[in-house]
Amino acid sequence: MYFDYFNVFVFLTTGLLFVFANMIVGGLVRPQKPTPEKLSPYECGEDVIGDSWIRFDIRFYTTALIYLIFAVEIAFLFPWALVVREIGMLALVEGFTFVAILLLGLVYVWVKGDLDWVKTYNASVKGGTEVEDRPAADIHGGPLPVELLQAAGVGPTITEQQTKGEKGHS
Amino acid sequence: MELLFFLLFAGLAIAGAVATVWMRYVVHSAFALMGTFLGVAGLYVLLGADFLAITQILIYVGGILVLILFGIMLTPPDRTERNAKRVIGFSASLVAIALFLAVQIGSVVRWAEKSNLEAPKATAAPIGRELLRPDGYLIPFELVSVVLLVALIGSVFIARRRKAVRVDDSSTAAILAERGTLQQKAGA
Repeated sequence: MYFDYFNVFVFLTTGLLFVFANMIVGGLVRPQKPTPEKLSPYECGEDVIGDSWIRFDIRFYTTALIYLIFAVEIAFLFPWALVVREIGMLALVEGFTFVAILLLGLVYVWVKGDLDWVKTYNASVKGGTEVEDRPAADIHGGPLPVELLQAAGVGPTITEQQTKGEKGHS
Repeated sequence: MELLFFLLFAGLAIAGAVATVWMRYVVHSAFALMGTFLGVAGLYVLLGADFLAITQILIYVGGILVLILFGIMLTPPDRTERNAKRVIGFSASLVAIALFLAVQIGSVVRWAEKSNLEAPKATAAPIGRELLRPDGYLIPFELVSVVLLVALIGSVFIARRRKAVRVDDSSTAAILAERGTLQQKAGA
């Protein structure tokens, strides 16, 4: 009956079981002597600064949006790829047209700079102050607090440029 | 056996949906939503729609859920628990379930209760054939790419407009204010 899908199910279940069985066995076997230090999140031995819930950068969201569109494209190309040999030239042309139209979208986001990871930020609407977003300060994808970086002596320079609006990336 | 799997997947979907509404942290809700998506994918497989199931996993679990999580993480952290009155939510869901059951009972559609179908065949290749047949769905297939293009450009455009960090982001505003005074001092 559903034999092919049953294979998938068995793989899925095995994978899930493998994770949780190991965790449960580990939890039963290991000694548990928690101290406050052990329970704190580990940040390479440093004391934890700030909140674990940081605000993600908008770039992650934009990239996920772009990914989602192309995932839908891939979903449409799966059935196409299965029959393209069988149907021949027409299918090939159709498929390439499909991809070419969506390629325009890729060109658009590329040209408009939505794929650039390091970009200059228009940090304030009033006055047009721009914060330069340095890659070194970009571990979490968003600008780190400036005071923190200055305390570490690697503060990003904030240049007061009277640039109008979103120059260069809009 | 089929019933067993149906109960498993349906239970997963319903449990995920309930947990999505019930969880106090919105991130937990988003993760619970994954259970719903996977359960629905399993139900698609049971219905013989294997391509739909894989698309469900690829797009909903792989794309939309990630998008939702990023959306949550974009918003300012809100540690306050969702203290909405549970009684109201509970009674509202009861009303919803009652309405659903009323529609089920009152509806004239008789769903097939037992399937006498053969083992479901792989659906991806027939879908491909239909998509590429000139008198089939060829034009819609090409239009899909145009729709996707519009969606891509539109969504990226809307997402981009909010790129400028708002002044009401207090920390940034404070930093900028401080910066301004420092530079004024330096200038003077």
